[in-house]
Amino acid sequence: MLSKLTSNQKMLLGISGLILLIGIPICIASILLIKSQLVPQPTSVPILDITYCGANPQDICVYSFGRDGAGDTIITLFLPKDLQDFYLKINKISGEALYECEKNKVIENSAYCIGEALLLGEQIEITILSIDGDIPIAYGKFAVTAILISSQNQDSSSLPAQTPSPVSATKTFTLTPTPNSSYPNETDNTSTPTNESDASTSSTSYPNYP
Amino acid sequence: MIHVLQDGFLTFQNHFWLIICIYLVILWGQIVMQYMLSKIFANQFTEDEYFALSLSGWIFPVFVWAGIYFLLNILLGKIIAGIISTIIFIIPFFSIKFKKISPMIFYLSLFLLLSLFLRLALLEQAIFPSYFDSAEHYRVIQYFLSMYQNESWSVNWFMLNYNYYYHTGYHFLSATLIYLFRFNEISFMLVFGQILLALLPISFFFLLKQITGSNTIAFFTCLIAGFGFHMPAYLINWGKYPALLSLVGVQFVICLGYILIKYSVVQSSKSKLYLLVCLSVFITALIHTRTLIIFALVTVLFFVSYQTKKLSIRSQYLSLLLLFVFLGIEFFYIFQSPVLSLLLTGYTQRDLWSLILVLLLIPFSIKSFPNLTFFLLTILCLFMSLLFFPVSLFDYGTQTLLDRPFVQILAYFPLSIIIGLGFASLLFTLQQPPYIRSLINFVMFSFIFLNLNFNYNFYPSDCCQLVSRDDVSALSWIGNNLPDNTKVLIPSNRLYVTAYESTQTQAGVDAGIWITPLFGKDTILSSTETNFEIESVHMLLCSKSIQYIYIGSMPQSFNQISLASHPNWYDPVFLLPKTQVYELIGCQ
Repeated sequence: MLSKLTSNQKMLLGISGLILLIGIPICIASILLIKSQLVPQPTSVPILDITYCGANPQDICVYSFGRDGAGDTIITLFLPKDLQDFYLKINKISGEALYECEKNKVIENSAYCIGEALLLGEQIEITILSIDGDIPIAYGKFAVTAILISSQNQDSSSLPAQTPSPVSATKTFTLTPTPNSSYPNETDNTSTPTNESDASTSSTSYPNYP
Repeated sequence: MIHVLQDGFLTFQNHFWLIICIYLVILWGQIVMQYMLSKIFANQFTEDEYFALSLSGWIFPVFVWAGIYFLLNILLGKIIAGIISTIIFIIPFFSIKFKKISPMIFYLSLFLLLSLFLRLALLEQAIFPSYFDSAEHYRVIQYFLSMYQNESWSVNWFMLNYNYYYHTGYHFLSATLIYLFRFNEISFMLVFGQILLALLPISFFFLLKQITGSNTIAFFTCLIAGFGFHMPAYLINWGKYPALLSLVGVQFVICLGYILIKYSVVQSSKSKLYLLVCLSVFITALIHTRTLIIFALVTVLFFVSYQTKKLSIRSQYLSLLLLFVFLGIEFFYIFQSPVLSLLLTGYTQRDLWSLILVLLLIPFSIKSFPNLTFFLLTILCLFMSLLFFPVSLFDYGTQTLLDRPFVQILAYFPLSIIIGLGFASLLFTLQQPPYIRSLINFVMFSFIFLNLNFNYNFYPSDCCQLVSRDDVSALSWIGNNLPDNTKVLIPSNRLYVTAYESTQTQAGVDAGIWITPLFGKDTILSSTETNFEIESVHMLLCSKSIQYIYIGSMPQSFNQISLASHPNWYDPVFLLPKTQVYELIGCQ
């Protein structure tokens, strides 16, 4: 019977086609099923070293430490492009703390993380882990030598020189609402001068576009 | 300069697809423009002249294409508009014929590539587009984007929301490209600006090639226009992107104007040329309405200098002398004005070497190109004179026809051409012995190289980067955590550009100006010298329902100490080294 089958080329081709037609989808489905059941293994990609940011950061780094209203610590980070969503795990003497991180949607290479307060002088280990799979991305050791002082000074030294006005006891100021525009527009100016009794309030203005 | 190129290359890698897509659009514009020009001028120009001129005018076909897409979007819907626009975009690329390019085109392309990498270096340090103008440009771009995204767009919606005209052309074009290619708006503004800067000098090649007939002079003038003066690159620090885009239009229209005067075009092509000129003027005016004043001035001056040509030599020199006297008087009064003096100090402090070169070459320029030099100097003179005469315009209050920043931007144009003409005259004058010409060429090109290395700044100026990395985090926190109806107090200073502004006109001075455009939350401007330690101030803030106070990273932001000293009135909610957000509490 087999010889009859093999001698008939047309039948042979048809059977081969049928096998392929059924077999290939079964194989693909099996592979996908097995893949989805596999536990993701830690990759062999080396963990990045995280440090304080320099003048022109390129790799992931810590930009500054701060704090919020609840006393929690804020850590701002510079991120390389297309970094997956992540969180921080901070190991310190008092234990481990997890920090939730928010990537900045407008500027892709920036994020801030908020978590348990850190103490000045504390030695900490920061591990950045991916939210998906808890895969370590970066690691670094820090000494919290200062809070509210950034890792580098930038842009604060030179400025459009402002002629300081004498500080008086009371000052008039104008509150100008900008509901639609942050650009000063005289037609939308609904300023409400307040303390009318004040006299010398106009400060010397420095021309714009220095 | 090596580290500048390295930074530029890094930026190129980081924004690779954005840059490639923008360049594809520019290339498309150039191909279409070249086709149109070849229909008008046939074989009147060389290959490199066509290359330079068509690249100078790329924005006009692109603008028309964007307009077609916009109209099709409204009339036929997104999908059909997308298909038709894609077809229109693809077709010109099939007309590209691969052939051997001339050496000059190769050198120009190399120059443009180098220029691009040098310009991109700025983005290594620029976090956000600079200064307060950029925030408004972003906001208006978002407005046009919402028009594309708003399925129920209507004329009524347009009239309700578009409450004042503001550089419509730039915002419309930017929004269309961002929408079509799904760019990030901030990245687009930054990258597009640098690409425009990289390509801007190319129109000088065409112009000087036409005037002098020399590739060397034309190429040199390209370099001087690109890297000899702080303008137009410096305007990036002011966030004046519409002005930058309008320069592309102005320079192209001036090239067309020169062609109109110089060449007698075949009658059938004349109408096409006039149409092209009118369309270019219209689109350029849409981008920046003040360019109409430039076009008007140039047209009037053309006729004036044409009449001057008919005068005797003695009278011509007398006119020139009077012009120098008038320029001197203008310089004097400009220097006296605290608002206007920045025009002169901007050039003397940053471009002293180039100005010395201008002074050295002016006699040669006058010798060989008297009418053109007279024309250029008069243009400069008129630009500056318009700084002194106020006009009241509709709801815009008192303005001047040209303001100091715009004149400061434009001044590089006549100065660069004068240097080019002077160089040409120098070479014509000192023809023998031949090694002298080589020596002069070497000195002139070395000047550019030295200026690039020791004087030119490719990075953002400290003056105007309102947004630091801490600001980015604070802004993000505000966007994520504060409710939509939040009112945030941000610092401001008097707007002081022409000295005719009302004292009520305020401009934001730190990153707080980005809160409204980015997140739609209301911001209230208040003087940087607001004394938060006074109870009446606290009461006023409470009465105005202000909930938060933003202190950015600029030195002219609010004084944080005055807020920190009253914890019962101002509660710190987000503190970083350079940026703080306080909540207003203790309101009765």
